[in-house]
Amino acid sequence: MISIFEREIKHFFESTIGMMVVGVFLLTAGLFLFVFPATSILSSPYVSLDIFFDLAPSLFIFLIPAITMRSVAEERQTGTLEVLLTQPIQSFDLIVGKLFASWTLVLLALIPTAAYYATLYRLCDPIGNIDSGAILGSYLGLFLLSGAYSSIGVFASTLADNQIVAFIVGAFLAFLFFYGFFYFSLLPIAVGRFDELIQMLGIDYHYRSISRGVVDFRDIVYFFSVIVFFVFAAIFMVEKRK
Amino acid sequence: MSVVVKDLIKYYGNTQALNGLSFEAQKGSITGFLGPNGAGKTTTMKIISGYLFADQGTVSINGLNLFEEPIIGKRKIGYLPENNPLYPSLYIPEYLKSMGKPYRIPQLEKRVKFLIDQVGLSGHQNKKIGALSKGLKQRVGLARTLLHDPEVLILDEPTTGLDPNQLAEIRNLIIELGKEKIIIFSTHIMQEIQAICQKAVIISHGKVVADLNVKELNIQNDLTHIEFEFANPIAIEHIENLPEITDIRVVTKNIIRIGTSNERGAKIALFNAATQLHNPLLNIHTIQTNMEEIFQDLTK
Repeated sequence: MISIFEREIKHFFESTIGMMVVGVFLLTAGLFLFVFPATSILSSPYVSLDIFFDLAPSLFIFLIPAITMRSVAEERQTGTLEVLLTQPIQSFDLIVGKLFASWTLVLLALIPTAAYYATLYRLCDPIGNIDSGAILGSYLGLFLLSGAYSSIGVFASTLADNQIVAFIVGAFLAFLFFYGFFYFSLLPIAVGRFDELIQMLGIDYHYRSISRGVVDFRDIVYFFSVIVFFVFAAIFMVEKRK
Repeated sequence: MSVVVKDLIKYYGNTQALNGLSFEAQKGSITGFLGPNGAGKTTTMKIISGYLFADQGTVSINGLNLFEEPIIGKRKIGYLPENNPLYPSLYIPEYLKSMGKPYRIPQLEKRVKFLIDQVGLSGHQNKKIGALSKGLKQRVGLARTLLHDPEVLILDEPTTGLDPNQLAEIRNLIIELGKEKIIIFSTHIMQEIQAICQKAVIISHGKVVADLNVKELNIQNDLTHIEFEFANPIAIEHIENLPEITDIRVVTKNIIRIGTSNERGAKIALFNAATQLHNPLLNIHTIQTNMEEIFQDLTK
């Protein structure tokens, strides 16, 4: 697992994709937070990072599948998967190694955004008058969400040899899990009956709950369930295609 | 030490790739794996290497059932797939170290250095794999299969696409390795089997159609076959009574093929006959036919 993780991380930094994903993420977030007048915190009377935490899950819907799309698909296409699977490792090591590598890259993209927090902290009047608890919760939410997206992306990558297919499927599944369940719950058949239940299946519901700064054990369990589910689905696909 | 493959059956969807394939390979001998394209060579090799599962049958390495103990089994096997997939963005030592980690090799660094020397890559350590020639890439692949000093080497067409010099070098390396290990290696090239293998397993339609001892085959078949090409059509009755010729066949109007136990004598006789008949000889060509003929007969 460690050798796979190391190779992936190395690949992110040597190829442009790692830098591009981090760069595009930070640039877009920066534009929304400080430049675009409609959303800029500089033109808002309130100091909050809500814009950033609303925006990040949508950006990640595209960026994380872009990171993970090659993970298994490329290894299968070039034949290196064959070599890896004749080594004394389990499919579990392969999938989890890939998942952790992608997750790590996303975390590296998140670290520089601490600068936004530092900026806001100074902008407040009086200085430091900011809801640090909610921000910390939101970061935890983003951390868990990126893990869930990564596992979805790695799973999508096991479905096809083609990376573009893996990207589209990954982005679609991430979209479905984030927004889809909420919109499904608005169907007339669900409203007033099991709409809340459907919402609870979505990432959005639990992400918002954690973002309020209240860490509920059930939300954490939810995120890890999603990750474990897609990890095993990915292992199943690798084993099935043997 | 041996690899025993027994009654392998494998389906891809509805297509049957292997149909009860069995053979054995022993230590210290190189087993050549021959068959037309689509006969099931690569599938068999993928199963022995632990990459694919068989629908039925067993593979045992020294009595250890590979399907029951895949992780232990895989430690005994080094597998080089047909197209030798590598990571082009890595340097050679970096690649080997990375691939060696799952085997938990003690003193991996030293082992990698040793292997780079053994396969003759010492001068290329500062190159990325993507920048290497095909022959050198093949060596990187071979070094990778040797990382954990496996007892069994499975090489799927390791010499395809190499130039004659590279070919000779890789062959010598395989012969050298074959002294210590069980080597199963597939090829299309008959001469290669005769040159380096002790045993030839010929497969067709997912089944073994011949399991031959290459050396015995060469001794048994002590006739040399020679093709003679004449400038003009040649009548067989002019030459069939010449000395030293045991067997004669017309290939085309101008070409005949003879079998002889005295190559030199036969050539002299034919040459003289050609002069007397005023039908000049254009070409004399000795054929290594044994394996090729057997192969064609069996895999038709």
